[in-house]
This record gives sequence, structure tokens and C-alpha cells, in this order.
Amino acid sequence: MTKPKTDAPIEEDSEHAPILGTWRNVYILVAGALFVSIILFYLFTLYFA
Amino acid sequence: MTNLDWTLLIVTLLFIILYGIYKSHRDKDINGYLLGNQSLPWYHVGFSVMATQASAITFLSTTGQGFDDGMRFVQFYFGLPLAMIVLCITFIPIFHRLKVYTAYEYLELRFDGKVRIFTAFLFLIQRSLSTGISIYAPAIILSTIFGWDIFWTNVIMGGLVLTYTVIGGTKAISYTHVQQMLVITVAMFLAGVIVLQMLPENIGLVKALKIAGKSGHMKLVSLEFNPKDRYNLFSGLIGGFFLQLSYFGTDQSQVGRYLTGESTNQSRLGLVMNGLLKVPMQFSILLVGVLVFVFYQYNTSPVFFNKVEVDKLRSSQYAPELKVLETEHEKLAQKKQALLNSMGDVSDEQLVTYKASLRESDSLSKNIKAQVTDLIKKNNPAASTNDRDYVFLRFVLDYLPHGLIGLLIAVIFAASMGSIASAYNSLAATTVVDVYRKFTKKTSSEKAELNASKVSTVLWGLFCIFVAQYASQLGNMIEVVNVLGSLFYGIILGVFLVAFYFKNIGGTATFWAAVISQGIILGIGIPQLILKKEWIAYLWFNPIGCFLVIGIAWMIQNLWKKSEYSSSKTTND
Repeated sequence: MTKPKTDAPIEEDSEHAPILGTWRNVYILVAGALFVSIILFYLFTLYFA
Repeated sequence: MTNLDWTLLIVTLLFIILYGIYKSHRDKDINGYLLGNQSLPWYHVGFSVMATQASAITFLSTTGQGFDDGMRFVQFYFGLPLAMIVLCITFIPIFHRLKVYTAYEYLELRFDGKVRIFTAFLFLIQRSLSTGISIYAPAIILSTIFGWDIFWTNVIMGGLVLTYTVIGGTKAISYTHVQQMLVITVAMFLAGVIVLQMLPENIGLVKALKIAGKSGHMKLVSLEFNPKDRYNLFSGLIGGFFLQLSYFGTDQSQVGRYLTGESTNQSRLGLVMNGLLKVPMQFSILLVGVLVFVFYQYNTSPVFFNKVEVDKLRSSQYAPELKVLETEHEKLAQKKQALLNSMGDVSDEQLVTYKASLRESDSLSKNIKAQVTDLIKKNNPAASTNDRDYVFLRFVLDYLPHGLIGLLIAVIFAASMGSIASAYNSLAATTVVDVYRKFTKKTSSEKAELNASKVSTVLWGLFCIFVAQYASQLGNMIEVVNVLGSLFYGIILGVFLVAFYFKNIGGTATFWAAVISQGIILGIGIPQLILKKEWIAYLWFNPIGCFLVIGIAWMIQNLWKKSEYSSSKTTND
């Protein structure tokens, strides 16, 4: 068995996002856009199908 | 195709090839050839990532999918934005910090050489097979337009891209991707608007969608959980998330795209752009397919969209049978059109009868189509009977105005060239960085590595063209690519997730877990492909494969932990 290497490759999210201040806000925007799309598509399904 | 169409097509293709050659003239080392010296801004990264995923298959198969199966395929992409977030948080900072050429280099830093080689090997198999299918997709355009043999069209298409890719480096690929995506967006928008305008005067967008809805084409979201159902909210969010995470995080054709970003921030923004635009883009392409479906409710569709096979049938002993079926198909289409035209003036009670008549006509149409398919198979057992992929192309050639035909054909070619070029580049990068460089023990010069990259690109290109010869037998192309990906992606993703999040698990445990898990997934997936039956929808292979690797690696590591450390026979190779 290979002994696990112990270095921690994950670095902290230190850089500021160029838009919306922080990367956290940018990710919320992406997830929010997906959520809104799914709701809209569901409403489309109810209306048209 | 008129002179105008040909001019647009040839000028676009020549421009891409010459532009690629022009952009590559400064990149004389392997860093420039494979990573573009990591100098590109976020919108280049974003467009390049999107253009790599959006090949000709996207336009031919997705519109065909919309025509045949409706909008439900959009659910396949629901996991993508979430995958982009995880990639931005975890994958990009690591790859940038370690300054790797390929994703698999990181696995040797974290585990050992055998995990790196095994994972790179899985990638090479999967990507080369998928690229073969990506070559076949535009090749069917040539075969349909010119009536050429599919063998030679594959050779010409794959060979053209190969020439351009060997000469141009990754920066040239990224530059051309930006232009391709802009032209694609404009051309698809124009196609959608024109289809809408070609519908009868009283049919607007809303009414068209209602007609599509009556035929079951507007089920965008299905909340019904069924593991056998390929596309529903859950398979899209969970299975799609794992597939997209694996594709973008561990497939070198994508990793190579965002590693060209000039900083972590620029790479991240590129993926955020993809996360925001991909779902609306796929929605729009499917919508064009659905509008084409509505168009053919008011206009008689060909009995079979693959014109080459129908022409062969027309000059065969089965011609009289085809004639009878075509006449029946024409009568049914006229009956359906009459029903649709009079539906607006009937009472609610009559509407029920009309709808039943429409359903009956649809069923009879499908029956006629099945009979034509049987005849085609009898006439030519090797014929491609998967008609979905021909729908949009046939519509474009039969109905769209000249100029736009040339532009759309050019778009399909351009998209193909971009994604195939990315794939060739990534296959060469993985071969040289993860195999050649490793086995030459880093003694080779920059020039030797650059030459090895070019030779490797040629060899992979030839293999992909070989695979393309068999692609027509596999079914709807976009699904085939995703099925192939799903057989391998979950395992590769599992290896990377163990690397990122399970610090106590070592290389040997991960290696054997990956081998065992791949065996299990292939053991389920290959019989499904051969028997053409689905016990488990392919999207689920991604999370299953991923969790198998994590679970088995964890078990191996913990079960043998004591003997490992007590025997002191371990090595950190």
C-alpha cells in the first residue's frame, strides 16, 4: 500500500472577484440563475404541456 | 447550395485555417503550443470552453432531439452551473497553483505514477472515441449535400482539422473559438426567427408552442423520479452534475481550455460565463428543433430525412414499396394539416375528437416511417437509419434562404473544427506530458517535445478518423457521446475527488478502486449498449462510478491500513 501523501493542495479562495465583490456572490448568482431557469421551465411545462 | 452559399462556406473555412496558422507562428515551444503561454482573458476562456463542448453534434443532434423528443433534453444541462461553481472553488486554484499542463499531472503529485497513467489512459480511450463521433457528425453533412461516400467524407473532414491543428497551437484554437461562437449565436438566432416566420400567419410563438405541447414536446421539467428515465430533474441535477464536473474538471480537452487563462480569476470568470449561458443556449437550440417540428405539422415532411438513403432506395428493387408508403405518408400529412387548420373553429367536445384523430395520424405516420426504415435496412444493412440527426440539415437545405444556408453549414463546420481541434490538442498534450515525458524521464528537449506533440496529434487524428467510420452504427450522436463519456467520467471524477477531499487515502488504494469500479461500470454499461436495453439510465453511471471509487478506495485504505504500516513494505513511488 502506498502511504498517503500529506500535502494539502487546496488553497484558500483569496482573490477578490472582479464583479459583485466576492466569489461567493458570483456563485450565488450562478446558482440563482439556474434556480430561476428551472422554475421558468416548470411553469412552461405546466402551461404548454 | 448556390454560389453565394459556397462562397460563404469556403471563405469561412479558409479564414479559420489561415487564422490558426497565423496565430500559431509565434508559439515555438511546448508551453505556447499546449497552453498558449497562459495569456488569455476570461471571455476567450468562456467562449473556448463553450465552443469545445458545442460541436456540430450540438446543432445536428440537439435540434433533431427537439424535433423528435421535445424540450426535455434541456434537463441534461441542469447540473452544469453547479459543476462550474465546484470547479471554480476547487479545481482551478489547484491546477493554476501547480502550473500543470494536464489535469493528470496533479494526480502524480498527490498519489503516484500509476494513478496518473491509469486515469490518463481512461481519458485517452474515452476522448478518442468521442472525437471519432465528432468527426462523423459534420461528415454526414458532406455526404448528404454531395452524396459522397461516408468513408471519404470522414477522411476529408478529419484530415482538414488535423492539418489545421498540427500547424496551429492551443492559442489559435481559442482565438477561432471566439469567432465561431459569435457566428453560431447569430446564425441560430436567424434560423429560429425564420422558422417562426415560415409558420402559417395565424401561428405565433405561443400558439406554436401550444401545438408542440399537445404532441408532448414541451415537457421541459419532469419531477417524476425514475432511474430508467434518461431525462428528469433528478437525473439532470445529480447525474448531470457529476458528468459535467467530471467533463470540465478532468477531461483534458476542457482543462486545457481554461488553463489558457492568464490568471485564476480569468479562468474562473470564463467558467462562470459558461455556467450562466449554457442552459439558455441549449434551451434555444432545442426550441429551434421544436419549431421545426411545428413547421412540419403544416408542411409535409420527407418520409425519411436522410436523402442519400432514400435515393438509394428509390433506385432499388424496393422502389415500388417506397412509392406506396410515400403516397400514404402524403395523404396522412394532408389529413393532419386539415385537422390542425380547422381546430380553431370547433367546440370543446369536437376538440377531443380532433385530438384523438391527430394522435391516430401521428401513430400511423410513425408506422409508415418504421416501414421505410425497414426497407432501407433491407436494401442496405449498413445504412444509417437514425434519422434524427438529419432533420435540421434537411430542413435548412430545403427551406432556408440562400446565404443563410451557406452560413449555417459554415457554422456547423466551424463548430466541428473547433471542438475536434481541442480534442486532438488534448490527446496530444496527455500523450506527451503524461506518457512521453514520463518515460523519457524528462531528458527530452523543448524542440523534441514540440515535435512529439505534433506527431502525437497526427497519430490520434488518424485513430479518430478510423473510429468515425463506425460511428453511424451507434445511434443518436449526442447521446452516444454522452453515453461513452458516462462510462468513464464517473471513475475519473472519483479519483480526483479522492485526491482533493480524502487526504488519508493513498495511491495504491485509489488505483485499485479505480480499476475495480471501471470493471463494474463497464460490466453494466457494455451489455446495455449491446442489448440496447437500459436498466440504469446512463447519466447515473457518473455518480455511481464516482461513489464506487471513493467507497472502494476508502475500504481498501482502511482494511489494509494496519498491515501496511506494520509491514513497512510500502513505497512512495
